[in-house]
Amino acid sequence: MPAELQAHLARCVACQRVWRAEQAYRRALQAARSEPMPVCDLPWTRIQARLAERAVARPRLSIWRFAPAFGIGIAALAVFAASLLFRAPAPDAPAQVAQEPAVRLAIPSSEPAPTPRVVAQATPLRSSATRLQTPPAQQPAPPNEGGFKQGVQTSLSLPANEAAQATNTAQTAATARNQITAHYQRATAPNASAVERAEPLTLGMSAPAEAPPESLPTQIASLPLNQIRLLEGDNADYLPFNYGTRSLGENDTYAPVGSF
Amino acid sequence: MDRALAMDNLYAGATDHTLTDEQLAARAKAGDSYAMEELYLRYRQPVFRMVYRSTRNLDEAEDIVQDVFLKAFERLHTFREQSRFSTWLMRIALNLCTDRARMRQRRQDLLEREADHKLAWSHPDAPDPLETAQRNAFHEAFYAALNQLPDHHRQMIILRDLEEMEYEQIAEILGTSVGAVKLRVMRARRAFKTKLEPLLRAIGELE
Repeated sequence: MPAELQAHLARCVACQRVWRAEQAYRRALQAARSEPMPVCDLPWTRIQARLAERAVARPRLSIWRFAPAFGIGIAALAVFAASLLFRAPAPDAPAQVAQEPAVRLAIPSSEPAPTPRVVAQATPLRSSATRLQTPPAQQPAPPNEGGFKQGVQTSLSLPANEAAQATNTAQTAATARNQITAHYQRATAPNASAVERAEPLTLGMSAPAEAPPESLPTQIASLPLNQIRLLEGDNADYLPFNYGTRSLGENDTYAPVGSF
Repeated sequence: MDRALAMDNLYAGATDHTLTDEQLAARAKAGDSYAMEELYLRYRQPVFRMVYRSTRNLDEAEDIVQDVFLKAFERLHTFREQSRFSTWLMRIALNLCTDRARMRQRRQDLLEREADHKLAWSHPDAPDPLETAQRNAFHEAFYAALNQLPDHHRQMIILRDLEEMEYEQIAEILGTSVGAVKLRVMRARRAFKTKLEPLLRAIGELE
């Protein structure tokens, strides 16, 4: 021990206590190290026998033990694959759509609507649509307020079981659109008479291929359309209306009820 | 050769001194029973010595040694030749010692609970530290204090202070860094001295 450390230990009581504890610990450690250690007489044969016992009690897994499970799994997989390959095809979308209950729009018109004809009746309405609009100068004062043209109230009532008439419906809608366009062109012509302007639009629909049911289709509600106002300088182009379904395009093969 | 493993006659009973431990382990992995026997004879006493310091019971120590080698030879396929066989074996021994200590402690706690803490004095595995220190030799106080330590502290004292293993070897056994081992040893010694001082005072070894 250095002389400086010895001198400090002679003076400092706390360090003396720590030094004495450290020395006691080293003596105990030395005594434990030097303790005579018993000899392990465990023979190798005992270990060998125990190893052999464990090997017998726990046999090596053979792959053939899992053969039945593999077979069942493969059979289940084959059944599942066959069900995917030979399942019935899903029905066509248009037929499905046609089978859905059609949204029926109807208004109680003054004249009874023939079935399955589509009747469009013009009623004076206020319009918020602005795509179709005639120049105010050319437009004679309409009987209703605001200078709006008469709107079109359309009633479409189709029987519920017209799943096979999806194509007919699309063609009918295209025909109706053309008729409506022609009607507005006549009504908005500069030389149109008051009679022509007030003439109601009547759309003729093709008769269904199948015999219509005897009972009249149920008319659910009347949804009057907003009045259409012709835009200045634009052609009289009919604006497709959506009642929650997409608009009818040129390539569509079906016409959801309520859309043009 | 490790200093700790050279304390005893390492090759007492061993016949083949030419092959390394890793070479023998590779042969044993292939099913060579003579290689397995050689490894057993080489490491039987070092493993027993470390286990005995932990248990202080001859029968229990031999039982643990048997379990250590059974587990080692059954799981020899998991031994990687990149690591040393001695450290791998010691790690198995440490884990088994820890498991046995916990089982012993649980058993003792259960007995004390059942006897409403009235029979703790009669349990042979749980001697009173002060009674042991007064009745037995100086080194018994050492082991009495050692048994009071938690497992992770006790392992550090056994591996470093009793078995005199190098820090690098201890780090390899525990799978940690040398710095972490040094820190653990320092904390273990601090906790051990706290337990040892009252026992040494009781036997008059410390003022």
